[in-house]
Amino acid sequence: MNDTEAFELAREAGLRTHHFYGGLHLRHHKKISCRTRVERPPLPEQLTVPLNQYAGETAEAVVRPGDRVLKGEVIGRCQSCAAAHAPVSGTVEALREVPSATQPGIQTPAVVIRPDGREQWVPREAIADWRAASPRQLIERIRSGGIAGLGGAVFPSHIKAAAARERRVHTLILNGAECEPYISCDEMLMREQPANIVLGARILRRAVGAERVVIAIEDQMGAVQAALEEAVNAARCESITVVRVSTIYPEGGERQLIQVLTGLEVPAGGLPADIGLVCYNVATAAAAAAAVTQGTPLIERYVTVTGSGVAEPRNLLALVGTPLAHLVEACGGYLPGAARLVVGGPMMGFPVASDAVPVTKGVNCVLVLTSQDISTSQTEMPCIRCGECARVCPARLLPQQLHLQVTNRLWDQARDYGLSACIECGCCDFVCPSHIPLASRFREGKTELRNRAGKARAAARARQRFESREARLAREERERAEGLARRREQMRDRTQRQKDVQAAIERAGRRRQTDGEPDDT
Amino acid sequence: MTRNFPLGTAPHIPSQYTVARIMLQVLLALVPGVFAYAWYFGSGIFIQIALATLFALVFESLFLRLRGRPLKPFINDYSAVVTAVLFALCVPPLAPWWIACIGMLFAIGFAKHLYGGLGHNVFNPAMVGYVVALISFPQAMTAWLPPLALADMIAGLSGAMAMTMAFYHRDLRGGTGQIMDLSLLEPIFSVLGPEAAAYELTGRVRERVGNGSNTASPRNVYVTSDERFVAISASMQVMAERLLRAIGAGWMLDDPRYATNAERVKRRDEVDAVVGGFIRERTLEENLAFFEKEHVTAAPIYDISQIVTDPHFMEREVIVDVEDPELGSVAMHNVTPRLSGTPGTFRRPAPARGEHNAELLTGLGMTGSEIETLTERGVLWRR
Repeated sequence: MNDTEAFELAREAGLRTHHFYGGLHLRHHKKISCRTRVERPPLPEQLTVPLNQYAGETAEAVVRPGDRVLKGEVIGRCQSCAAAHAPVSGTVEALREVPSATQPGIQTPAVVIRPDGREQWVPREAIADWRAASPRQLIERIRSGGIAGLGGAVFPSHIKAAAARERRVHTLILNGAECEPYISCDEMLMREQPANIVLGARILRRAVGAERVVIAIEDQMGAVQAALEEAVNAARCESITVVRVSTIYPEGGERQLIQVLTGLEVPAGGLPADIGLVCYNVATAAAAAAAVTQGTPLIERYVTVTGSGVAEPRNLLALVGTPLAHLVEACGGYLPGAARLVVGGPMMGFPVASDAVPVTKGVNCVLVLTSQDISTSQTEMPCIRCGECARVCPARLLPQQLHLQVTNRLWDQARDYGLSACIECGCCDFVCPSHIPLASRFREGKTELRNRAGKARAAARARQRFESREARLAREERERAEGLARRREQMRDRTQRQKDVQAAIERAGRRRQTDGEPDDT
Repeated sequence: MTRNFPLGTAPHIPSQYTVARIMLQVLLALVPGVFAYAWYFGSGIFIQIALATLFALVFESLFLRLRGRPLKPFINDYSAVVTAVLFALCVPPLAPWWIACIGMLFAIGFAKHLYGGLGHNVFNPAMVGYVVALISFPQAMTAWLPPLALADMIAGLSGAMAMTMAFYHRDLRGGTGQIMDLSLLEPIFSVLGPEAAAYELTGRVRERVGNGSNTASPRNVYVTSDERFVAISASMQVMAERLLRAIGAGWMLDDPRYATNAERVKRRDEVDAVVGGFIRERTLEENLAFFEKEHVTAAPIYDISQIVTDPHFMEREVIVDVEDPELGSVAMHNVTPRLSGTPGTFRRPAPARGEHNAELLTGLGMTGSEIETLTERGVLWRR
């Protein structure tokens, strides 16, 4: 199948569902956090808004300690990442480095704000009729609203939209297949704000220039389908389809979801846009709708606070910058036995060392686990080459081989075996009888491959620079030599001419002597 | 008020997958094999498993300690037990205890731990242990019991012979009935031939020689080019001469090293190489046609499906179909040997259960009603 065929076939996204390779059936653990309506917790005493929210550029702080900020005011500006906005009105207390919740081991600059409790908004500019606005205007509004992928990657939405528009995508996929256990924030959002999601879907469709929208949800989500379909009908929008996909982890991964909806694989190293698709999380769509129609920037999001270590698991509408401790407190606090704090789900989430870490746009879940959940007796054993990992890997890699290559630093081999295609879903970790932390090793390996590729590129550039300098020097040398030669030639010519003249004068003199004195007449 | 937590690695969810579980699954998968082994070769397998497991765990602990590794996780993973059971399944049921000891020493110590322990072995440890034992102790490692009732069959033949003798004594010589002392041991010992005499006279123990023979050469089973087998036993000098000439090895008869049977037996392997080399270059069919033409006795090795369609077997009516009320007809050995005057026939198939109850019990003096009562009460089988 060539690219054009795949591009056309992908138009049938969602008409039938397909399967992806591997994956796991996991216990959901979602019901426990879906019992109560989502509410805002009380304002925390202090909010810490990280300026770096995803693996990319860091926003530049545009406020200083002592500045007064209004709710929704820009506090971090950025060209290629999402802007940061003040989640509350109040006073900037400090600028300082804090550990990142979603990037382990990374410190990010952050703006610390003490709320004044007045919740005074910056003047918001809404687009009165988004249908009349140009896609460029919509994308600009998405950019200025600081909208980023709320599924966890926090990729700036305006960049994705602009790229998708350029590639002429035909189908927009809204990802509501929240496949990781425990996490239920998207499900609650779809239940409570289906109209906003549908509105966001229509706005994003216009922004990216797609014809159809497919909203994918899981088959275990109960009432969600009806709620969304009602919202679709209310909007009289026939080009939006709600599709239920079977709950197999990690079908919410972008590439896996696309495979389920279209039966097609996004080429390794390629983007969904290569086959005419663009994916957004459902919460991103709702945030985009708020940014466009109300001028409200992305300053709060649904966060699931759950796990057997939390007294009252539930979903909260949390301001970016709220410390995790504050959210847990709003859920009744920790239960005795709480032993691990994880940001994200149990498969791909990151353990954090302190609950002082603030909520970022990428924090979908705060998971508190007890010592029973995480059996500490599972010590790492040597790989016994059972091959279970290869049976569950949705990227169809050979984790066993990759592990060997990464631990032995055989980077070229690891690259050839497709290490970069690893989606870090952790399925291999889960089934590994030797309890080898494969996914985290692969994450380190991927970073190493990226660095090496970067170094190789830098080396190639340096070589090119060196070679062109050499060429220039050689050219200059050659030119100098040629100039010299030319000058020498000229010099010789001149000497020759002088000699000729001299000879002529002498000849004339001799003639004069033989002919006698010239006749002056 | 903030709280700190220890970090850990994903997945943050309990997983039931462990090395021990996988090894137990392997052990479970071996259970049918163990029982099949026990069925065909006897229950010695259970002793071999116990021995091998014991030695495996001893050597596992020893080598873990030598390597400074923790004992508990590696002893509890059952990997040594899997190695032990795989090894035991390759060992004859009556192999001596030190076979398991040496096999496990090499399996666990050499193939497993010298290569880096669990998961780092290049070769399957059990098979390394097996190969070491097989090469070092070929006799002990190949002492298999034949998977057929050989002793029973020979004892049956001896029993039939003894009955004929007893009838002869009673019917023709006016003797009385006798009690027959027939064991499984003596009849099967009788087929060993002059072993005891040979031992007493020479003090030498004859060793196993596979399909060869200590008294004749060429004699063996030879593989053909189509992976079938031909059996040849040229135990007479004329047959040996005919065979060697036929295959173009007549020079051997002029060579004093191969001229006589005694000399050939000494150099059995060399003779087999020559004969086997000739046979290996031809298919079974070509070999048989060739030896037929040259008047050399040679036979193909058959399985039962080839036996039932072989013209020789059919011509001699080796197998006959006998009527059977349950199966319709059943294939049986024909009467053998056949006498010219009274060749013998199949008068009837084997009786059904209880078929002759009434006849026999009446003969013993019971009345019809007594038999009826016993049948009613379920003591006797009701047909």
